[in-house]
Amino acid sequence: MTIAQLYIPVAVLFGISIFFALLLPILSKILGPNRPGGRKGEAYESGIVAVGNAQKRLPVKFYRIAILFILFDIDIIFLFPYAIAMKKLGLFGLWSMLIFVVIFVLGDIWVWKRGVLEWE
Amino acid sequence: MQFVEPTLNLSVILPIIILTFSTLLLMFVDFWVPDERKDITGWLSLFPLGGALTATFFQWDTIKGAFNSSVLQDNFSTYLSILYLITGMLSVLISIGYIRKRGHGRSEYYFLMLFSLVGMMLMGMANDLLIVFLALELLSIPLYIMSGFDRTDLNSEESALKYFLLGAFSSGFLVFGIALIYGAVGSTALPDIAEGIATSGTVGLAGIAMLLVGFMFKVGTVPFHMWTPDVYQGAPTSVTAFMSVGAKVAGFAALMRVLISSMGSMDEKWIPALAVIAAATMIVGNIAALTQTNIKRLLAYSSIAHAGYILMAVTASTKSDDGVGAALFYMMTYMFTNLGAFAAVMAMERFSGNKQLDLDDYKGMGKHNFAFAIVMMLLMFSLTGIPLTGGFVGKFYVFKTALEADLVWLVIIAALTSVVSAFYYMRVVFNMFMFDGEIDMPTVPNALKLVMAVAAIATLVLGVLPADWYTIAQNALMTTGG
Amino acid sequence: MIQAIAPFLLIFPIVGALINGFFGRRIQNTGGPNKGELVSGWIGTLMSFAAFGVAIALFLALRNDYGPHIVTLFDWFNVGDFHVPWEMQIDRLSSVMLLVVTGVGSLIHIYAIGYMHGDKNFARFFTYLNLFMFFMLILVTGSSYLVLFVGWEGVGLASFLLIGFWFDKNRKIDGVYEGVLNSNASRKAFVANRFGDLFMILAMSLMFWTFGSMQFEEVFAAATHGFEAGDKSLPLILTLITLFLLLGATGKSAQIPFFVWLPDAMAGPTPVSALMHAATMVTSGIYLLVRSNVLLEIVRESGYELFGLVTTPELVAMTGAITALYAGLIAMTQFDIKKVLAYSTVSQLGFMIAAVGMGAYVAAMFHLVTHAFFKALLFMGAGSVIHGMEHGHHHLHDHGHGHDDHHDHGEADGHHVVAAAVHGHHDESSHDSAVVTHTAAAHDDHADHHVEDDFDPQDMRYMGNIKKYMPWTTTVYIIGALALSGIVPFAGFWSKDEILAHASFNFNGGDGGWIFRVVTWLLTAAAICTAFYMGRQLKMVFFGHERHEATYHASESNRHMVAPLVVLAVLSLLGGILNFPYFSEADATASLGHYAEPYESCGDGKIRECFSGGHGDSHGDDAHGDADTHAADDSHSDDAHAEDAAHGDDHSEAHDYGINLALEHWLEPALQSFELTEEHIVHLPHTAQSVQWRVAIQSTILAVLALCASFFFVYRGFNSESRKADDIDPLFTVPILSSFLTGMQRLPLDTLYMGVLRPIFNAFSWFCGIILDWDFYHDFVHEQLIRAPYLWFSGFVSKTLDRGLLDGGLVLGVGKLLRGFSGIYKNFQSGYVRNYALGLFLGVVGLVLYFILG
Repeated sequence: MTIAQLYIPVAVLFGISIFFALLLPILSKILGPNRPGGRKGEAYESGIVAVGNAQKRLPVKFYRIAILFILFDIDIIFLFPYAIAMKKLGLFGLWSMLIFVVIFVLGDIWVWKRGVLEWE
Repeated sequence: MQFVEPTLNLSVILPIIILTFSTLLLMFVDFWVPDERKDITGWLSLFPLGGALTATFFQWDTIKGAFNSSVLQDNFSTYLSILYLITGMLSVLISIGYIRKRGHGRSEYYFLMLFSLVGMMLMGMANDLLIVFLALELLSIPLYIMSGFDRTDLNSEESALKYFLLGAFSSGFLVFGIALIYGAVGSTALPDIAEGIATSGTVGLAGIAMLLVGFMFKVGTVPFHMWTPDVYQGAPTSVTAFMSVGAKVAGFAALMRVLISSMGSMDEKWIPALAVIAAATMIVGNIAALTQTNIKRLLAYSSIAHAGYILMAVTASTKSDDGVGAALFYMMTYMFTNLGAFAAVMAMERFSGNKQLDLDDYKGMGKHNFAFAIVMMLLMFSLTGIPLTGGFVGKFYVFKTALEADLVWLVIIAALTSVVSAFYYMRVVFNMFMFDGEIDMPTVPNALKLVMAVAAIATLVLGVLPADWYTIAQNALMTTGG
Repeated sequence: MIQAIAPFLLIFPIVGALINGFFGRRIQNTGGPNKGELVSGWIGTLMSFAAFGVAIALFLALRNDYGPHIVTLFDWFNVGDFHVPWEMQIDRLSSVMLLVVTGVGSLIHIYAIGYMHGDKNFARFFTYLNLFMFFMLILVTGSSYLVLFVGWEGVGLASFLLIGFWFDKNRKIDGVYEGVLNSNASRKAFVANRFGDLFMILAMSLMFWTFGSMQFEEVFAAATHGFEAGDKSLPLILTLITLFLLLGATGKSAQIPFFVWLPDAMAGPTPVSALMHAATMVTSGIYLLVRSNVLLEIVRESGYELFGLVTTPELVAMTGAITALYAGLIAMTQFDIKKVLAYSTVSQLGFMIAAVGMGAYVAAMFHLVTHAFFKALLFMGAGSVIHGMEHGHHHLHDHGHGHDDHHDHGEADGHHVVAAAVHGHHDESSHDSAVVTHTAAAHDDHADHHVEDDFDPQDMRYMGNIKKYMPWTTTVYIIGALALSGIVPFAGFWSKDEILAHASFNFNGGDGGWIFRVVTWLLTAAAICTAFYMGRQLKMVFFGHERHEATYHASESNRHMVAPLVVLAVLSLLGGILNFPYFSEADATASLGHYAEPYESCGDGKIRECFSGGHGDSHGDDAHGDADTHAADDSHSDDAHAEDAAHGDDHSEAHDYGINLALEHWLEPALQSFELTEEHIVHLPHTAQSVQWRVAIQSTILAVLALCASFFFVYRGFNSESRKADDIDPLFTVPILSSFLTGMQRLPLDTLYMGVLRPIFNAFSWFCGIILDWDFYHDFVHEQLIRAPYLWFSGFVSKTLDRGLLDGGLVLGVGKLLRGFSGIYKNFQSGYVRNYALGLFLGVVGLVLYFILG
């Protein structure tokens, strides 16, 4: 069995999915009733009245906090596996993590000192 | 599985350590610098660069691996580190004063630049695809921010956003490529890839293609170049200068390392692809530059074209002994010339009203400020590749090496396009010397003058007495394997 | 000695350029304008003379040996096995070029002191001149194609700077500043030359690729070796190399297809035209090809034909010959005094190129040298005339109505009728001087003050009868014109005739093939053109009647300008001696086969005489003291001759001269193809062994006829128009009638004359003058039969062929095309990130598909 033959089922599946993806919308367009107008054109058909613009501007402060959150997230991503393998990694791991954390904390201090955390 | 402590060899990354930690230190020193005198931070940031440069000089002629050989120090990486650090110093010099006005006096600019340099240096040393990726991101993310550093300028914002979106898009391909190669070979270390890639089949080939995309985007070759003009034009000019040299050289560094040390056996496969890309890049870059009226945009297209010439040397690097040397030498001339050219642009730039970035704004410069005009002329000559300038010698070696690799058609295209390039570079010169015009030139800071002088002298020295410098570039050999 | 002094060739000019470049403006402005100017000018001039001194010393040193002497200055590239030292090669060929470049150059420096007097950028001009000398000397002395190329580019730069020297002229022509036109001209020269340079680079790359070197000696040796060894691919490669070299030479030496820049280059100051665009720089293409003679001869020997049609030497010959005729034809139609000379230069360069292509390297160099003399002379003479005209024009401005003393107002109007006619003519004639295009209406406005604001001092239609006002200039100019026309015994006759003789000898007696026949006819036609346009120019400028007010006030130029002219005139007169065919008893014996002794004595005595004649001013005395060295010199070539004789009679023709040629003898050791001919590796086309009387007489007769014809036909119409109708009765100017009428006036028969004879005479003169002379002869014969086809043809040649096809199509068209592409590309650069991302993605898809499937 060559590689090409191995992939034949995949190709068939691929073909079928494309076929249905095209078929169903076309069928529903042809077969389904079509009565446009009125409420049906609105964003939320459930009856909720849409208010205001879809593209809302948020203060940049939110993003700032969000980015800080991601930083801490990454911190966790590194710390968590380390916690699991701490024994195995020994002193070497400890120093590595220390350097990492020190740099990280330095960053935090800098952020704090720059006043990034102040809401106003 | 037993954990084996890696061999650290911290001396390998000593320059990086120096740069990183002294920058961190600088960030805190900066708190005591009053807001209205942030220039001081700029001057201070020369110290980390100087320290790192000194440490780098001592690394010449030693070959060492570190972190289980995922980072490699050889003359190739040392040469490039020196190039980056000089780029950094010149960029800092042109930025002081400029950033005070366009960046609203914020000193983060310098930290970002230094961290970006860390990424670049790591890029030259990386011997593992993961390190390559890490370095690439470390180099890119500060650049995204720096592009948008003039927050009140919509162009600058647009530039940053475009760069970021497309950069992220291309990084995705790079990671995808790394993943595919890992899937095919079972390792991300370049030496391991070198062993396994030849038999890795379709997955490995697709991986190579994706990997190339990531680098090609960074160096801005056709068709991955389209961000370049917009970003270069919108970003503050000092940032443009920095990234047009630093990011481009770093991209090529990683490209060369990856191609030659891990995919040298596949060169029959990638040489045609790279050759076609190089040809397209030279053609598109040079021809599109013809109709530009904004000098920053013109230099952006010019930098695309130069990427094509460098790529030509890279393409030839497995067939010709001097391919890497020619590319490295070309980068050196390109670094000085391009930084000088952007410094000249900055000397004219204003921040409100007519920004004086049109080619027409240079009309009458020959009479107004002769020295400036002469330096600009010299730099344009070098970019064109007229003899007795570094640009000529660089092109000469690149053409020679491509000839040695039997890429005759590519050399013909390169020669023709460099003739075409004379049209637009000379337009700048003509505007300066052959036309009359009102020149309203701001006072040029001394630091800018210094950078222009250094660029002009270096261009001349490299053009008239290139032998020793080329020898150095030639000795900047790449070590393959662990 | 050569090793020690050769570097000074380069040092002197660059020092001069640096001094004037850095301190020139200061020097120029100190001690009063005139004094400072002189100091600045003489610094440049002395540096040039110093280089000339070095050149003479080298020349003397080369009499006892052949060279080549390699003088290493420093290492330029030194990488692995790629080794390019910066070396100078001093041999007999370069020494000839050195003498011309520095000698003529020095004279032009002196001239420029006078010519540029009062220019605010005086020092800058001399900086550029010295810079040019520097690069030209690099070009001539380089020992490799790469070093030569540095000089090649350098003189291109100097040419660019000097053509655009007056980029700040404020006078508007057709709404465009003249400075802009000047800078456009310089740009045109630069761009056209870059196209030529492209081919030079290709030639060098190919050379390096094949032979691994660009040193002359190594390349030639390698090529010869390869050819002897029967390398199969060598002919093709050498054909390509020589083709590229030819194309490179066409750029610098202004041949078809790249000659378009040279006429425009006349926008530069006249000394520049004389120095670079006539005497020296444009000959570098010829030098390049002569230097590469070995390559050309090997190609000729191999018989490899490009596209199966012609070998490259033949192509070279054809290129030169066609250019010679083509440019000669255009020269006949020009009105700008300098453009006539410019096209003439193109034409004469064509002669040289043709000579190179025919293997007549010595003849090419000979013509190069003599041409440098008389064309520099002509250009500087033209500059002197222009200067005089400008002076006259200024005089008009300054003394606005000063003429009213001797000319009344009506007469002034008469002048303007002439001027209007001149311009009307201009509009039809459609040539490119572009300097004068005003309407009759504009004239009426200005008619009151005698002076048109856009008077052009270079337009020959404004001149006439200048011989009266500038006697020195006239004399030397006539000498130069006769030399150029090839009239015995002026220099041009000998050199041009040698080329013609070579061509005709080879198709009559030799085995040269059809090319020689075509080239002979083309060159003969070109020589006729030469005589015609020079005669036309003489007539228009120096003879006939004054056609413009300014002419009356033209005055002789200052000493700085006249002195070099006189020196050059002497050289133009005597230059032929350089390669004078001379007879001696010894030769007679030599041709009988007894070479050794008589030949020695002959060569010794005669050669020295010849050279001391040619360079008499400089070193005649030195040469006489040196008989022994000559003997040594010649005994060497005697060995060669003896060998030749041993080979047998049929092979000895290459040196079996019935005549001896001094320059040939001098250059022989530097041209390896002679040596190779002796070794029977290649076969140079034969050189005439005796004086070609038929060719000489034929070309002389043709030249004289053409001169006479030009004097007879040219500008009859304008001369008659400018007869100032109101001053003299037109009848008095009709040849036979005038004497009759003069006699009549003296008789007391006024009434009879006024009442009867005058109307009759008037009617008769009206018939003669208007119907016969004007309507029939001028309007019909002259205008319709002669002028119209002539103008149509010249318009076709200059507008359609030159401007339209070569200029517009080839040079500008490429630029437009590229800009068009650039405009199309702009559509893709839309500014939308989504489009960029799509482009990026398509790139990814392409790459991945290539890697997986390709």
